[in-house]
Amino acid sequence: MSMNIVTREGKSYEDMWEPGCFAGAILAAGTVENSVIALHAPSGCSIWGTHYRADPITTGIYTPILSTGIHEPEVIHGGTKKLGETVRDVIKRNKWLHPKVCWIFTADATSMVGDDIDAVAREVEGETGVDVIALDTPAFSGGYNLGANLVYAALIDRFADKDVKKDNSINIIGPVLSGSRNWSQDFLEIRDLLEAADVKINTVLTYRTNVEDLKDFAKAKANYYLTSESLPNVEQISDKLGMETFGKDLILPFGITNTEEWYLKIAEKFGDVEKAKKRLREDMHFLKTKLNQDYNATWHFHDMFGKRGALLGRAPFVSSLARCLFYDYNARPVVLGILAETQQAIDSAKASLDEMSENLDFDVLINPSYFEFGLAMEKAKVHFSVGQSVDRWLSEGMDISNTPLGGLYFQSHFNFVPWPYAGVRGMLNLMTEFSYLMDRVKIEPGYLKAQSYLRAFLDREKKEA
Amino acid sequence: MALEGYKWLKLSEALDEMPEISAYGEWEKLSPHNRGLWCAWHYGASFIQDIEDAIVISHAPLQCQSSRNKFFASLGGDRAPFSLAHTPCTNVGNQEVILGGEEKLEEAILQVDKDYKPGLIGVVAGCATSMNMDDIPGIVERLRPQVNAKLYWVRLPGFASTWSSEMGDNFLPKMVRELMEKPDKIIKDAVNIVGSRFHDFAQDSPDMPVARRRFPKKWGSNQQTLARTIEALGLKLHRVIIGGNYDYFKTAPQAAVNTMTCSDWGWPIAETMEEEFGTPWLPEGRAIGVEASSSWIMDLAKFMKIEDKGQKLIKEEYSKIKDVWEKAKKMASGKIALVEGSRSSGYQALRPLAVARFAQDLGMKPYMFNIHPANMKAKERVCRHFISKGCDPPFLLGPYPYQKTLRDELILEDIGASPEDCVYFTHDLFVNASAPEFDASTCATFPIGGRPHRRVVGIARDDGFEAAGVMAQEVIEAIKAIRGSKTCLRPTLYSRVMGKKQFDFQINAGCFRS
Repeated sequence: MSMNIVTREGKSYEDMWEPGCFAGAILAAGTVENSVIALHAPSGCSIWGTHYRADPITTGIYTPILSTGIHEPEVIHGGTKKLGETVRDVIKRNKWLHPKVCWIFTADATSMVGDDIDAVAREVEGETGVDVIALDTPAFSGGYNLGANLVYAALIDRFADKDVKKDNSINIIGPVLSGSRNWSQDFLEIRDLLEAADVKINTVLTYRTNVEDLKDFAKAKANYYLTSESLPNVEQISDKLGMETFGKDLILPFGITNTEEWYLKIAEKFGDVEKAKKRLREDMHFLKTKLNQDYNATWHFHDMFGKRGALLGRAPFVSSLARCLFYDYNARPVVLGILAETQQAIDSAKASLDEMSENLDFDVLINPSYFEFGLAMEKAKVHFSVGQSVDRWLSEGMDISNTPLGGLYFQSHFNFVPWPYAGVRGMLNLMTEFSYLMDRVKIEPGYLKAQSYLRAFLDREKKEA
Repeated sequence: MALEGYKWLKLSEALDEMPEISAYGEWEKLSPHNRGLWCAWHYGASFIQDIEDAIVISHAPLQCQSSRNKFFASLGGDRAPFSLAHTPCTNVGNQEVILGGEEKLEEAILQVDKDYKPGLIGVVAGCATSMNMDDIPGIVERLRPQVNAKLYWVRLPGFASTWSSEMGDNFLPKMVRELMEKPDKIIKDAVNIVGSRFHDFAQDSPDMPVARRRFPKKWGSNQQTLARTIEALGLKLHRVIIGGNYDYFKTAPQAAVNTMTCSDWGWPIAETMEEEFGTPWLPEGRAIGVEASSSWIMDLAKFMKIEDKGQKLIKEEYSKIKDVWEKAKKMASGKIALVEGSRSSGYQALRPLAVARFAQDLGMKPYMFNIHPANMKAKERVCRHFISKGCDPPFLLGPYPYQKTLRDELILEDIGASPEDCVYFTHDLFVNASAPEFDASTCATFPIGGRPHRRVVGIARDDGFEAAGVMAQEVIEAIKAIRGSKTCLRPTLYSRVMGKKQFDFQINAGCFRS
């Protein structure tokens, strides 16, 4: 049995789904309470920015964005003046929100022009009393994890007191970076589980974060990361504050096996293992009452047995889901496309998946192009794929049934039921998603139409007419 | 006046009052900041990908294609025949911005030619690579002998996203000039439809490993409606542009005339084809309703000198929808048509105008609002065409800063109308509604653009007589759906979510009492 790692060395192009740095900054800032965003960018980036902002809205916060919408004149003569007007305007127009923070983010063109965003920030801050934080976030500087990293680091830098007494609590970093499209519900479940095991949560970057609460950020013993990506600025500043980094190698709690491993390890370090076990038993009891004698559930479980799947998505999510499919479902996740911005995330995914290689042969493609991933699915003769909504075209174009569980929540995600994928209870949601998927796995496209008596009847009528 | 800084003018007068579209400083004063334009890269890359054996290489960071692909992935099956997943990208980073990304681009072109074996490779540069001035034309020239595909390039930075430059004057004309071929013959009864996207009539590209094939649709599209119309006049459909494979696209100038489906896209294509190849063209586009559809047919019939056939066809087509059309006219006549623009500027000029013309055709009085003036001015020639056809409705001219829209209750107050006097032609996102005052239960509401306008099953909506019949039926149903205030209002969930009162007992305390 083996895990076959396929890298992209020597390949000249990429086409993976990777929103840029400013998108990540919007995702992270979008769930900071009482904040507004001035996006210093052309109109096109502004449209994408507001689309990405739809994702943190799932946390119950609306963060207004105004864009400078720069054109050629600002690229040639500079857009500092226009930025100043926009920053003032976004604060003024949203007084109802009582803004405490105004973010300035740049895109490629404005970053290259080198407008003095810091000067604008200082000026408007002096005029309004609102904290104005300017970050250079062009897409060419990196992906969305990098953008979130910059926002988190800026929040710590700006609002955290440096000299506070430590306790045994933790800060949670990066709920939006877990790679699950259902991350906001997952976070609530994770928080609930941690609290049940007496793990004390100090602050969260970011989930409905109130900047005043960040004052005590450094009180926590450790930062627990919900992503395995390196967040260099956050890690550096936290090191200086004497805070431990935790969780980069800890599997995310999707599925039963992963949840147990995740929960007991984290409870052992920061909480009460016995309480964690009690909660696991309670949640399993809840599951059993729902599923134990349910004909449909037993059908579903066996439906998944032995079916070969391909997974494409962010490293921490895919590695966790692959283990869930193999250990919890006895399915065969044989093609895994790991999307990662940093080597740390790749290494962590490999480590998480390594155990599975004792019992299953599978390929791990690191940042594959769609071309390569499509060929790998074909070669492995997979029956289904789990990806991000943007991947649907690739899989279904190849007659491979697909369900999008990963990526970010915006555009054509219609999961309105507030229930997590994470934790033991989250299995009910995953089971629902997978059961729709299995339905499609078993029915050949076009079969129902071909078998329709009424369709044949109507066609005959039409022909005769 | 409730709408401070805004005023109603006839569209023709509003256009006169607006600055020239190139007068950037004037627009900044009239209408500050972001005007809600889409990205030039987004459209340019997508147009090239409408050619089915084309592969676009994005010379930009991954952000550009990731966002675009996500957007189109959400639009649904029949609207995006190009294989979204495959947009090879040089993923320009800090190093390429500073030191240049030419080497990376060269390697990508050679690799794509090998992997995909496309008929056409289109290199599209975004903001960063347009600013660092990578020598894209030099690379393309140098590599031409080494690659099998036709090589094409274009710089489309987002900051050049204005209607006048990105589509009208730059991108589409460049595509026509560089990718279409001078015809060796003109087929005298051959007619093109230009301004279309998401083709139905393309040829297959069997040699391409990742082949994108024509999908034989069971149900109609606007293209099929117009094609049937052309054939019913005894003429031959030649090409639907943009669409088909590269060979199909490049031979479009063999047609005797260009007709139009969407004037926004079609007008610059047709104008350039006339300049380059002498292809005549007919300006009628987005022909919604009986009057507009008749005009589309007669323009073509007159050009081909077959007016009798045109008249006969109109008579036949109208007879099929006469009952529903006249019923709709009876119910809608005298009402105010609230015609709203969209957050998507792609629809801003033409579609609302075509809807206003349709409403007028049904005897309504259209008012156009929440449409950024810059979008109308940039498409002034299209607007003037509609005006020449008698469609010159009141247009709400104002600053619309940051593309922000105005609430409908303000509009109604301003024109002195109540919801039940109106038919509200909405667009797709964040449509105004607020229970109990303004909702589909109090004002006939008909989404006419974007995603909600589309259906896989049934007759295509928009162009032609059949579509006019379907849309007339929807007007009838929308008017019938008004509950009024005499009984329980039963507002839609949407307006309850958006509004101040959520339940009938809050609106009308006696509603459920016997």
